[in-house]
Amino acid sequence: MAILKILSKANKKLWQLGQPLIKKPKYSQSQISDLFIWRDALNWKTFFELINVPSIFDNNIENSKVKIVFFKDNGEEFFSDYIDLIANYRQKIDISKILINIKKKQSIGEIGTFAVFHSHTPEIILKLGSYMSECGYVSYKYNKAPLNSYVHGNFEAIAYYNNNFEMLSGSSIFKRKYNLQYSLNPLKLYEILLTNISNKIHKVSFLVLDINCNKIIKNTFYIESKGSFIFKIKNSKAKRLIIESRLIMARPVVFEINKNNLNVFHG
Amino acid sequence: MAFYPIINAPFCNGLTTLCNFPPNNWEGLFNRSQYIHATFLDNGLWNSVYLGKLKNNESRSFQVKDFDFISNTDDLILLSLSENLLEKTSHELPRIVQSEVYRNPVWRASLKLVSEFTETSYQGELNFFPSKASLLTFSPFFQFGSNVNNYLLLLNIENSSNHREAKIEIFNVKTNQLIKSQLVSNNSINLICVDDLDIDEKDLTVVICRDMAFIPLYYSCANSGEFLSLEHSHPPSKLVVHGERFKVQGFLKKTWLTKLR
Repeated sequence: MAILKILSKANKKLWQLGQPLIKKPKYSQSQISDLFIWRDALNWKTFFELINVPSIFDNNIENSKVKIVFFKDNGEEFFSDYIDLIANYRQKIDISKILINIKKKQSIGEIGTFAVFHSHTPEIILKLGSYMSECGYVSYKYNKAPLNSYVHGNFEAIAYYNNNFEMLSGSSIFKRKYNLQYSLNPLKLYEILLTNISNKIHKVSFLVLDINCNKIIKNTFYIESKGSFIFKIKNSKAKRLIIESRLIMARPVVFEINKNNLNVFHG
Repeated sequence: MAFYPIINAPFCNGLTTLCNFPPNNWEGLFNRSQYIHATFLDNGLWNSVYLGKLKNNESRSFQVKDFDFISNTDDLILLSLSENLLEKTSHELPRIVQSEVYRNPVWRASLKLVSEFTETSYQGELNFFPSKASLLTFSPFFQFGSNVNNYLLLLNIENSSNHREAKIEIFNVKTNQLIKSQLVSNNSINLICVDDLDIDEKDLTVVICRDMAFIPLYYSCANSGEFLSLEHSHPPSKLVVHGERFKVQGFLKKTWLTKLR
């Protein structure tokens, strides 16, 4: 039993050594954000719930703002802007409104990622050796639904300091399997959105299994750093999804669509 | 190890799906059958009922109506997967044995709310909170419009089966004005209707409880269940990363729980 435990610990080390999920940024003044997903198409609108986080820590902080940076699905930055923050209020940012003017000038596709960096880190956070992290809430409106579907941020994915980005996730030495612990409903459409929060391009395989765990679909794609990929499933036998890659944790955002209804959640 | 509650809300029934396969292949290689139990409070004790075995790679869903043998199905029903059979009754939550621990992510279940038209869900789990704990969470989730209802669902379990109550308070962050307070219970899913709050889309609210901790779920529905949305807010520790993040959380809780009197 003791030998088994030692072997199990040694095996875990092989998967962990030099392969951090979220590493510390190089600079203590760095601002950190999740890599959120924007969707913008005929039936899709994206919103972000902006809160003046520094003022939550220190009510005397004024003139706070955020830098919001947009990336295409291939990870290429295509737009950034500053938004002034209002202390103690909720600011619902209509991402689709921001994108509408950019779309007139260039092709940006229908999905991509964005990051939100605060301009100011309160003293207490610096003093305790921590970093401000924007992992807030995105919502999506599908068709003409009267409600938005909310999903929270997930990873401390990207750091920003002095006009430079730093991707915070490592890459795995070995291929890893991420098993979505969810029973797919064969009558529904699934749009699985995955982002790459490492600094390398990654080969990713999406494996769809039937109820007997037989592989019925395997598709392989590449996702650039800061990029994103959408994998669609509509199959009468689909029951499970496995994502195989060298990403440390290939946790997707799942869009489950049934006629006019949307259910969005972190997988 | 975690429990998986069956949640409930107006216009919906809860449906929880347990999956007996691990979330990844690198923190373990779990491939065994597990026991399914339902744990609930009855006569001041935790009661656990064995529901069968779940084979490796299988999934199984449960709704409240599957538990007609429970005297009060309004009480929280906690499902679990374990390698051990649970004690039938206990003053403390039964010990769940799983030989492999998964953290990236943790082993979760699908927690759904299902209406006659649609469903909404999140992947979650529930561990017991210490009895000396508090809640502070900022809530930019409430939705507005005709035929739209908003609810706060506060999920709590504690190790002890002893019943206790606390008060939750909702404040407008701008004015620091108390806009709602309600008594809530431990070991429960507490439903708080927030349709009567005097707020609009620009108002940020903060929910606090000085004596109890919860997972705060925000549930919105439109047209009596035709459209649904469900998500939980983060604890304050998620506003920062690395360093002494729980001291940062402690600072925030102290600041706000003192300020909001």
